[in-house]
Amino acid sequence: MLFSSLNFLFVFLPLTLLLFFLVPGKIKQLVLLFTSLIFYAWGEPIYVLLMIFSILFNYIAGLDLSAMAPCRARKIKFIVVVVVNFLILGFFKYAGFFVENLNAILPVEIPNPNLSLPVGISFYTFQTLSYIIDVYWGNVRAQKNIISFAAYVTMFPQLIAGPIVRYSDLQEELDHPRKVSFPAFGEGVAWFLTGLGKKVLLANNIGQTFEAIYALPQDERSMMAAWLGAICYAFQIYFDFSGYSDMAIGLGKMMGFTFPKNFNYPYTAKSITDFWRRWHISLSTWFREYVYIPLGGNRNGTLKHLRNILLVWLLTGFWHGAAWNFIFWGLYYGLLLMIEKYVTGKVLVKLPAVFQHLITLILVLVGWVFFFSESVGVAFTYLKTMFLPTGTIIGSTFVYYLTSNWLPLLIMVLCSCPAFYNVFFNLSKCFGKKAHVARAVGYLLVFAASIAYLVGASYNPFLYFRF
Amino acid sequence: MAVTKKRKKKTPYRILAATFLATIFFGGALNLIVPDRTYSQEENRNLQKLPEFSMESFSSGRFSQEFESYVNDQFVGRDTWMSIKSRLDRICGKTLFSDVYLGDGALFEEIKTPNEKALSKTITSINDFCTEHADITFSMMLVPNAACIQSDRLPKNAPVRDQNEDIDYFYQEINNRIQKIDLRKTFTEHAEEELYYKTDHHWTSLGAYYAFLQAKDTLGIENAASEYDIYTVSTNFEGTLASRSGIHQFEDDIQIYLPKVETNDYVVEYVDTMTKEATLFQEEKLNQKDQYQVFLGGNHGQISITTTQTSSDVLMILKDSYANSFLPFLTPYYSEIVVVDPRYYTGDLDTLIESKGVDDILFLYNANTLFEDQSLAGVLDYAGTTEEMAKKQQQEAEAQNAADGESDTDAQAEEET
Repeated sequence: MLFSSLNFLFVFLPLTLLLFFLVPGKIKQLVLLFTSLIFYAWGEPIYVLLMIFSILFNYIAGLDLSAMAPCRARKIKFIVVVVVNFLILGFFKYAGFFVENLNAILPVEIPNPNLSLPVGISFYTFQTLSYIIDVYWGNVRAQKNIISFAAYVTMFPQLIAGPIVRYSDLQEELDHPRKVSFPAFGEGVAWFLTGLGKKVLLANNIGQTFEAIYALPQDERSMMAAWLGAICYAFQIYFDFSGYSDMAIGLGKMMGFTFPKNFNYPYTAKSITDFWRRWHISLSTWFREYVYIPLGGNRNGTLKHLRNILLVWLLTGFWHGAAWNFIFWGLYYGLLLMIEKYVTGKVLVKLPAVFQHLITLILVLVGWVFFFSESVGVAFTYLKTMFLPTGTIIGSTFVYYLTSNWLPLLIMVLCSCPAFYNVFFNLSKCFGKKAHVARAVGYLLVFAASIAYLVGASYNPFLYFRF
Repeated sequence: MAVTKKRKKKTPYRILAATFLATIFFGGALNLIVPDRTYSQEENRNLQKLPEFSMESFSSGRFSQEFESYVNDQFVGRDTWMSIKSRLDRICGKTLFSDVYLGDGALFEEIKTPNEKALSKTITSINDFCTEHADITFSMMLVPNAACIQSDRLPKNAPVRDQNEDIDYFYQEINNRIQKIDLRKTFTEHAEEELYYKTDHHWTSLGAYYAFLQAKDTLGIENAASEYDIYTVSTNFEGTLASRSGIHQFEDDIQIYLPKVETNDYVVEYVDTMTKEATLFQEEKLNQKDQYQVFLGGNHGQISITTTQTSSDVLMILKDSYANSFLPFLTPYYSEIVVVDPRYYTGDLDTLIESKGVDDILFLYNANTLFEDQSLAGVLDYAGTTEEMAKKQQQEAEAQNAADGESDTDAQAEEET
């Protein structure tokens, strides 16, 4: 089920909230678990069993690990648990990829299992792993209440597309649920509607333009059109994914959970390092906490530091999808970060801010080309059109797509900067004591427009489902 | 990642919380109370009904899918929301709505990219069919679409496919025995006139009229009527393009052309519904949304129009809906017109040709439809196969009979039937 669907907004959500707030405190988590299972089974009726298995397995493993004193057996057990989790993820997400590549180099033909990817498996596997690792390290106590643990893993607001909430972030709120006040609920609504608007009004619409430009035959795509296409995609993926995260954070707040912020105006970054502090923060945090730092980070000499960066970014790329272009995309960032760290970093900061922004944005756009192309080869052809002026430079297609999208593009530029939201708040202050009414009206207008687009759109694909 | 928004005053969000909850609860309740519709005139399709729940339908995912369509289809004020959306789209400078361009004074269906596999199959099937029927005269009228003929009225710089190339290719590939009725020159000369509806993907009767003027010589029609009675039967037609785009700023007239000739009597037999009528027009369809159905009441697998001109030829038309408004021009000149719409026809074409004694065959399609169509090739390939199968079976049976002797002929005969 998608948050951005009429079914969620007008059937699932009201029923869930009704049930959640009617039952007394202790049963709330049970309601959350129950509704989350329905939410998941709605789209994945079979794979819900896989998720339940994963919950039971990790619940028992967590209790086991916490009961043992540090010893060799505990370490082995820990490794087995982690490997099992990765095997499940690997089997469902990467088996097809490995079989395909093995078949390409081996003389024998291994049959491709052709499994469909269980929705959200990349997200919930990482969440349960955060729990297991933290329990092993002794950072958190094992959760004795299976309902609480299951509620943590399945919690529908973040189940499908994150943010990746580490167990340690939620432990307190799971063990000691607080009452949700009405204003706090309203704050959740504000987050949710912001996210809904980002996804439905901005991402979906600019996505159509991207699709149209990407679908053009290579010789009909002018240089400017290629740039416009990449820019449209950059906006699409940002508003799609950050919109979904905002909706998740909002829903969490409505039910008394605080999820970490996942995006912090990434396109205002001044360097690639800065960009990754602002983009999909919960994922980079996960890799930093559970891979990069345990490997030693930057403390064991340059060579090991380089190895660690490369490994983390190889994994980051691979996490996004079982295909070479994602690996390439990850390594591209690994390389950029190394260069920034050891070569250009000190030069970059001396440049005027405009150039820092510009260089970062261009590098990010190149990254997106690897990300959206169906293969590395296609990506390079696309980049050739962007950077080598061999064909048409402007072209009528570019003029058409620019003129029929100038307003949405302008809005998206504004919405990518914090300034715009400040303006929204300051403007509402003009209404004096009625400022909060004005703000509410603003949010509700976004809501109404989103409903109009949801009703009118057959076009509602959700990008981050693939991961 | 602690709570960062604490410093903000929380009172403002009370109103938002209350209005949001009110909206989703009342909205949800309203959708529950308001009775479901079974059909959408606006979208010209049946709407999803509440699916029945069963474990089996749920675990296959079918229930979820149907339930989501149900909520979408039955959403209160669906058509109003739709028009709000297209209004917002227009404010943003959009000119393409689904596959419909908002052009200068009219809506235009996008030029479809031919489905290459299907198209090459269609071409092969047409050519084979033509070769197999050497005694029949074939003609092909491929009607270009509005976005091709009136391209200067499209939004500026719109990346619309050049249909001319596709049409050239098609005419070049089909058998030379097929007489080509290429309307592009005629239509371009009259491009300023209303050859197509502003709100619908069909041509107008005026467009069909110009097409007839050009086609009559190719079809060998002599003494064609020189005058027509023109009736305007509707002034408020909003067609499929208006529905698909959600843009309702235009309205069309529907005109009917009746040739002024001495006798133009005929009986229209709808084979699918087994009804007969003395007219091509179904006036009651003017009261519904899709008024183009005034011509023949829409598409039918097979229609036979029998006239009083017993001495004339029998014409078969293989067609899409463009032919529906073209037929009124043809009735005075044939003893019978057999109209087959391959999308709905399931019979054996050869059998039909033989039983009707067909002399001429006219293919009449608009380019967008034909270039994506798969049903014409299907019907053409299927033609004659039942006969062949019957023959083959008979031969086999005979061979078997000869081998088995005469003892079990009865059993064999029974099996064959």
